[in-house]
Amino acid sequence: MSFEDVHLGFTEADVLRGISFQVAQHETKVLIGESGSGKTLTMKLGAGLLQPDSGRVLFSGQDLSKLTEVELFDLRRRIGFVFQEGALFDSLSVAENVAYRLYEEGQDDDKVDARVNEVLNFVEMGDAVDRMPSDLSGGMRRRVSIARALASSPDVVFYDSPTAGLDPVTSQTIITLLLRLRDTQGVTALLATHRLQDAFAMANYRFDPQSSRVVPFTKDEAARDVGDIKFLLLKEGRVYFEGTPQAVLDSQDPYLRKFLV
Amino acid sequence: MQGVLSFQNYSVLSIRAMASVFTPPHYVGDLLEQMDIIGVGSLPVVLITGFFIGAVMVLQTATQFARFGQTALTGDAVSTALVRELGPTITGLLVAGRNSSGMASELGSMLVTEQVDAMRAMGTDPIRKLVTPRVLATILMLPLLVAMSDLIGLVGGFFVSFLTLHLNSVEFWTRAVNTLDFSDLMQGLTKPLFFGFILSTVGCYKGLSVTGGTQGVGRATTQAVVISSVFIIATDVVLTKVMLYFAGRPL
Repeated sequence: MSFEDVHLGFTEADVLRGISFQVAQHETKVLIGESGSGKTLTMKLGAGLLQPDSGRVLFSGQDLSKLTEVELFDLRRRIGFVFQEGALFDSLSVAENVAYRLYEEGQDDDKVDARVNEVLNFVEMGDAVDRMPSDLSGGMRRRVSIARALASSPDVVFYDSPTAGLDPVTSQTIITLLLRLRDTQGVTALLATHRLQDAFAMANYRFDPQSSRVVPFTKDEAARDVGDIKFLLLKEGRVYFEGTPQAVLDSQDPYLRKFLV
Repeated sequence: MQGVLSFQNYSVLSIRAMASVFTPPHYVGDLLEQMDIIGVGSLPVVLITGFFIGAVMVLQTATQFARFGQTALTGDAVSTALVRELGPTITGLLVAGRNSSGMASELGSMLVTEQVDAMRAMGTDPIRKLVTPRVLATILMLPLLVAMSDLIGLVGGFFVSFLTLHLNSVEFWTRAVNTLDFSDLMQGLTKPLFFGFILSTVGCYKGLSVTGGTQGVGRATTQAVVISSVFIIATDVVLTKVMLYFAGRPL
């Protein structure tokens, strides 16, 4: 997926003023920025939910702005999107939310039930199948939202501020989930966050399937894997910085340092 | 300029909603659910209101006919007015108040909580899934509600004429039924098809074009009722003129 000089504006000024970057297969790109820096808009452009005023957004070589809404519906079936507030369908139960896309694809009830249980157990929400979204806490809603995004095994997952507004313990649970997804299923991901600690957690830790725990990268692993993680800092609708976690730590830029405090 | 853009967006939404009726996938479950909400759900208010409209029509017309000693004609007047005009219009306005607002607030809430975007992100067309079942359900249910309203209105009219004018039931019902011809029924049952289309598309359009968060949802709800009510009355004038012309009774 790549963004090429993307501009997007509402009413008066442009909110995005020329964003360019690429996300390679199996890569996790972390979008960092203050509130209002354009993270959510960038994510929505990536999924074709918004169209740029100028520039191009490419997904698997296809220019999203050249596709009709109907063609975009087909393409979006390969994408999972975790919205900032979860955006669960509040008239459907947890299981129905997760099963939504599977039923849309016309899968059998048995297959759907098995897959729903599988992904809900993956996010440790297996007990909540019959509960309604309004009965869940913020963290639980986020986890169900992740399960819903994963249900149809998408190629790319967009996480829009999955830890925003959550307490540190619940945030850690969500990040552990993201690490597990990356390290066990090799999901390509674009993660938007305003918390640099989430970004560093993605860069410095990995999920160990044998012990089912999150462990720090060893030095050798870090040299190999952390290179795959790139941070992208948005400021006022532009890419302010793009680089490895180490480059962030080494930078003397005052704006970047503000995020490290 | 804003008005032209809104009209264009409304037209696109309406056309896409109707076009989706003829192509798969169809959301039959959603259609049945909406038919229940709009049809069965509106029945009590439509019946109660219809009864009292019929009753008050008798009171108003009887005082006029009494001046000429022709109270027996009350059945004719009430029947024609109810079937041709009051049944469809009042029912249309009631369902607009109840369901057009409901659609605007439900879809508007879904929009501001990103549920509509979530639907799009999962490859579902929100117009096909949300708008088409509501529009189709309203178009199918409104004529049935109007028929029920007409009948109960005549019952209300009969009660009042029986109690106040002491008309016997045979006299009232014979005149009330005989005065209607096929074109009256056609007029009375064709109008709700248009009214149903108007109130549902306006409600859905207002819901899906909400801006400004929760406050915007409240505003859209009010606008949906006001706009659809005005459109219903204005369309009624045009439809009445056209249908009287086709019924061979031009002015």
